[in-house]
Amino acid sequence: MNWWKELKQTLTYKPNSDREGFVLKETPKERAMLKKDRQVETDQPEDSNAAKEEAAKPQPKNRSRLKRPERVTGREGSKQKQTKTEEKKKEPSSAKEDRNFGQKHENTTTDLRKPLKIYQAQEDQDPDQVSPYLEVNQKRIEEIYDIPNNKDFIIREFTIAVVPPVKAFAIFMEGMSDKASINTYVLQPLMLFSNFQPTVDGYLIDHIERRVLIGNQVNVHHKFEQIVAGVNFGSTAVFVEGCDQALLVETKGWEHRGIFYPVNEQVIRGPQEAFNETLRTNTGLIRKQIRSAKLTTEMVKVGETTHRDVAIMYLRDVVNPKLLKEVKRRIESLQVDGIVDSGILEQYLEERPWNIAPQVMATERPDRVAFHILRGKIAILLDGSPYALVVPTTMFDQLHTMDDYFLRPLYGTFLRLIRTVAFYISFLTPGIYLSIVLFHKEMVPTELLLAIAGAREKVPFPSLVEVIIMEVSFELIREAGLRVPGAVGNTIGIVGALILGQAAVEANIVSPILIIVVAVTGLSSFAVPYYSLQFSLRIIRFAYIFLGAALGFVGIIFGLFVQMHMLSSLKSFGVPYLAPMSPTTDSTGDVVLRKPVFSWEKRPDYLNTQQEQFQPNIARGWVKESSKRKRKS
Amino acid sequence: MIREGKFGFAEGVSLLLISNLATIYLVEPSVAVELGKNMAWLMALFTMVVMLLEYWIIISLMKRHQDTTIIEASEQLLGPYLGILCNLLFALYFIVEEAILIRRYGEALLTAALPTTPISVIMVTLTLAAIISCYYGLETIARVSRISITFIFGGIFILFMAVISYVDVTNLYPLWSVNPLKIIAEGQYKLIILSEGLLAAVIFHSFGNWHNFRSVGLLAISVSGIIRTTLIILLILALGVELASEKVLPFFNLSRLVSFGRFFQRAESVFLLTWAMVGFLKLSITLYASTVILARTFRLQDYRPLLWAVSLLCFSISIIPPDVETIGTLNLNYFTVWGLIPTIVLPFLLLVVSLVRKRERKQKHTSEAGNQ
Amino acid sequence: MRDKAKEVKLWIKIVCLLCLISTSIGCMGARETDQLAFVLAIGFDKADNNQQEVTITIANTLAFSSTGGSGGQDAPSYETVSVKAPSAWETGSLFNSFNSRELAYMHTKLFVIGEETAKDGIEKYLTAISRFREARGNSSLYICKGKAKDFLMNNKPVLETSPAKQIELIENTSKIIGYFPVTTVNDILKTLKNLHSSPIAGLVGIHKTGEDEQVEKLLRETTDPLQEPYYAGVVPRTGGNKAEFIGTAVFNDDKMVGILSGSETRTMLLLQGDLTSSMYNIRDPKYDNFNIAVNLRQARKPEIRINREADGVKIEETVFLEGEFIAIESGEDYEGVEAKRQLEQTFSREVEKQARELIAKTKEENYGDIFQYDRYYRKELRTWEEWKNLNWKEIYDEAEINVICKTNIRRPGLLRQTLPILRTEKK
Repeated sequence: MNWWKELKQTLTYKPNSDREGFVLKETPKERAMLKKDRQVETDQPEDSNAAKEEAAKPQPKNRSRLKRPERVTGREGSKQKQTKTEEKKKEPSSAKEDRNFGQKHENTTTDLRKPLKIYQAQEDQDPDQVSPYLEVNQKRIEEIYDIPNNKDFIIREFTIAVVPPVKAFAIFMEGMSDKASINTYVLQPLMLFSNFQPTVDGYLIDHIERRVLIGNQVNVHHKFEQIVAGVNFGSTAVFVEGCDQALLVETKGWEHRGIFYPVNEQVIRGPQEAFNETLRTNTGLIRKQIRSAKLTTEMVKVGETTHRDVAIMYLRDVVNPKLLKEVKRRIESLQVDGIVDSGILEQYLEERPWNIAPQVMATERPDRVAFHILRGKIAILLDGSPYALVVPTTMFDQLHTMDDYFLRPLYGTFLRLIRTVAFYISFLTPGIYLSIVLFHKEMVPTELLLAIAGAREKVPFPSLVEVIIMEVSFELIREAGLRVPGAVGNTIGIVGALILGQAAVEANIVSPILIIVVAVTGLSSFAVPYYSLQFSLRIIRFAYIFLGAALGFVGIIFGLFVQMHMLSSLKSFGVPYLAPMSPTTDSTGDVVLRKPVFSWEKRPDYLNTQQEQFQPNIARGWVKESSKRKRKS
Repeated sequence: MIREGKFGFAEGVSLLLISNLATIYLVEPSVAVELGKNMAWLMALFTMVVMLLEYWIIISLMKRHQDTTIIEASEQLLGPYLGILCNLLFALYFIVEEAILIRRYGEALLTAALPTTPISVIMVTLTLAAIISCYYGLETIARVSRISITFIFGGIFILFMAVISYVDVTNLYPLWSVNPLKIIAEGQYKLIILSEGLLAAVIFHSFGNWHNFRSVGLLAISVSGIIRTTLIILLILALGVELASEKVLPFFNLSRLVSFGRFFQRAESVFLLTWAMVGFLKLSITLYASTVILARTFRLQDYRPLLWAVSLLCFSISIIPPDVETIGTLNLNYFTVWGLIPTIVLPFLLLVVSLVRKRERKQKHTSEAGNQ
Repeated sequence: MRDKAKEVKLWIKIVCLLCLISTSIGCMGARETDQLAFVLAIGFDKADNNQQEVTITIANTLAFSSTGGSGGQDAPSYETVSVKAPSAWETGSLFNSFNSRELAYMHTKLFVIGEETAKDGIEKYLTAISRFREARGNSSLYICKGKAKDFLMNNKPVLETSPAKQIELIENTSKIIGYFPVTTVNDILKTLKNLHSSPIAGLVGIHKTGEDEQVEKLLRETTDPLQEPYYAGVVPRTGGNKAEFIGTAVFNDDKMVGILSGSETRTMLLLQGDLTSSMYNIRDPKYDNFNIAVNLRQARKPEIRINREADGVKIEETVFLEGEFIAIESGEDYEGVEAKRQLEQTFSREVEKQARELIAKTKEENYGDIFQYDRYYRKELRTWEEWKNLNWKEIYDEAEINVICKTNIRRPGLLRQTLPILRTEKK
């Protein structure tokens, strides 16, 4: 089948073999031979090699200086010559090895063969490496990006205005690159200003990098993998004829949102900025809060296809090294095709996917992330996601908001107590209502019971069905209100709830008391600050409805019992989910109540941070001073 | 072998405390009042002291075997056959306790809250809760105890505060009315059984070290003794001796008294929440103890496969007695008396054997030295 | 593969378990509110031929629904029915021959026992109530002068929608006036079982229009404003709800032996230490045709001293009253320190006199100790057996009981002093 392959390649691709018909590297066959040779004659003196090389090198001076691959003048172009040109392009550090090559080839001159055809060159070319042949590179790039079909990637061919002119092409992605900077920082210098210098010093590629391109980030890469990664992220790659390296110029620039108010985690007091979809902006926002050299941002690429950056941020003198190792281990071990949002990343990282409680905290507030980093936690940011993940997390963290911290301790404590009440109401109330109505009617005051009973008198359904109808319609309103397009969304939720509730009562489908129960439950669930936690409570609520209807308070207790087991057996990155409470560890009194800021002396004990002390025992220096002054006077 | 996990001081105290508190919600305080009349509170203190002594026996035993639990220790001390027999007795004790408690708590819940629900349903619920809980393991049970102890204390505290307005101090007179020795002979010995000592010795590893083990147990027993004493005092003061000794569920009856104004009355169901929680936890702790003893005795890798078998056994035993009175008599006249063997006599025996062995070894050592 | 099989097995197990649970639980024992008829009050009576008659008041929940709609509010808010049967507990079953719903006693606020029944003994009712889970020990138990059936049938609260609320509220007035004791099932049981003294219960009744003679007689007898000789059923009045709550029924063991009038009840409560506050009217010591009204409350629990002496037991009780002036009809300046002290003295003597009279009455009529002095006598005892076998009634009857009242009128109200009006007819 070899002939068929040859034929096919010849037909599909017809390069000018007069000019390009040489190879850069040895064929596999030759390579094997070389190896053999090297084994035989390793003790050849270097000097003689060099001398021989000099002798066998009749090359024009300026060309050699340009380090361009030589044009093959005829079919007789010897193998030796080729190797030499190749060798010269190599960096000086590898010169010795190259010389060996040359020497070897000299010794094998007897085995001269025809220079390879272009397609053969292509075949032998390591597909990961940049070839010195522009056309090979272009072919390779076209292959990688499926260029004629793939319209996002644009190849711009041009000539670099050096003497003599050198062909080159640039590839960039439409949409993620900034056109103006490509024009100004890539094409303009290369095509117009590259002849400012009369001569080219050293290697052409170095010259271009050092003296021609004026972009702020220019890298030289050998490998297509890196180049492609760069181009995929908005950079522009420049391939130059005769160079087996390519220049990657940073020309990122895409449309993105500015920094906006936090939408889902609003606070009254405190910074009003939220993460956006750009990783670098987000890390910057965190750094803005913690201006420390100790704050480390590590980058890990995730996704075989998507190649998204994941930033791991932590204070390296505080964070528990084991925790850091575990976080990195989990992220680095991910073998996925793509992760689109931090929500998906979260699901890859948590250990108990079927447990009802969220084990990773997502937040859109840089100040919150900074606060937790300061306490010794780790933030994980995924590029393109406006939410940062904070690990490890406990249920109490998820029940706190930044308002608690920003307000004075009494106010913060008040907020937290309110939220504690809301927490319990949001999953227990319908269940408790059912168990009272069905089992423990003696609990409510007589008048209230008679009112409830009277209201239920005309309702044809059993109370369980009634509650479920109401809860499901409430969830419907919630979901629909979120999905209704445009500006009607908010209003339709409220109007729907009002009208539906009113109509349901008037039609005697539900009793008015139940509307109150469901509404209070709904309100309370909104008071739980963390969205995922809200969700878990919303779902658990239905379990309690059934338990309450089946066994009354005994059922509720059964549910609480099982739920407590679920929660306390749970761990988030090694930290128990109910950490400061059970297992009981030292805390700064920052769990249900909130102590004043100056008594946050220690970092959370359950994190096992390197530095336990958060602040000295007397954080307010002036207190000490003033008391001293008093003592003196 | 069996991974039990470790827990800290607070969790340990909560675990043992809840386990020890479980009976105050059942008929026991009423029995105590019946026995001790208006001196029952003193007898409750006496019970506490006896319990502390019982625990002290376990402490001294475990001090000599700090690297094993009581299960391995008994085999070391008594040899393989006697040791296994002894361990099986321990397991049997917990199995019977579990069976009796399932039934008693089931009946209590039925009487107090769910009058028309079949008893089997409630018992299935209780057993199921115990299985689920044991499946999660001891560490989780301890943590759950730690969380619920807050609410349990809250409930007890509110009840005690609310009952104070019904207190009539003269109910306590005449003081020193009964001969204590007579009470003890008559039946106080039925109330001194302490399963927590054995339990703690079985889960000895989880306490971390012996000092923790000691302080946890002593604290838990003292606190529960104080709570039990307070409850009995309040029973006597609020209901009077005669009424208190009539009740099936004195704690429940006490909570029926509670009323704050016109609105917050008839709140016994709220207190039901706390004592049902204690019942659930006590059942799961006992089930755990019985399975883990079996697993350790037979050197199994995991106790979990035994859960189904043991819980089914307990459930089947518990459903046998035909009525509440039978189970009550079984409990008070047989279980609490014969239960003293595995909880006090056997550990004491083990302690004695351990002491003798040590002396023997010492003697041997000295005699060998002398011979040389 | 094995993992998958294991997983399938696990799921099968879980599904089986869930099925088992759901079939076994299935909402057993749950009772919807519309399956139940809430009994608010129960009355026990004796009928002819050894039959029992039980009367119950059931709340009509429809009347309590606020959802507008058809005729909810127009319906009467409760319904009273009665049934006769050989056993009081049998009637519960008979009710369901004409009542569509299961009876629920969890909100029963009131137990009324007819006078005749009470004279036969009430213990059987009390133990049944305390045994029954739904019935509450802290519901009130009153004795009805006459038949409980009449009371429940004719009790039509004017201001409240249901008798439950009426009972709750009227019991509050007991704390303000003290003309009837609030007695719960628990209270009576406690006295009955724990103590040797005589239990008491509040007295209720229906205003009888026919028995004017008795009212007239009582009216004629009443000369001292401090005396209130009325008891339930004979309060001289017109209009209003027919049910009356005034007076006390006294028991010996569990059998009713007599009744106390309104003011006697107040004195009894005062000596028991359970009187919260009351309005006292006394004749003005200086002017015979003028009265003085003071609002007094029990300042602290009475001090009771019991001495066992050779010739019997001596009980010395000191009660404390304090309060403020409501009215001084004569216009005499009693606000002054000296005048007030004298008034207080007079007042105390009056109260002591009342107490003496009441104690004498209990001894005369063989009521036994209604003041629960035996609670304090316990301290004198040594052993439980001694207490159990105590013959308290005898000791009480022979005891010398001395009541001392200490009154302190602390505030004159809004007036600092009373100045005489400028009369045109000078004396």
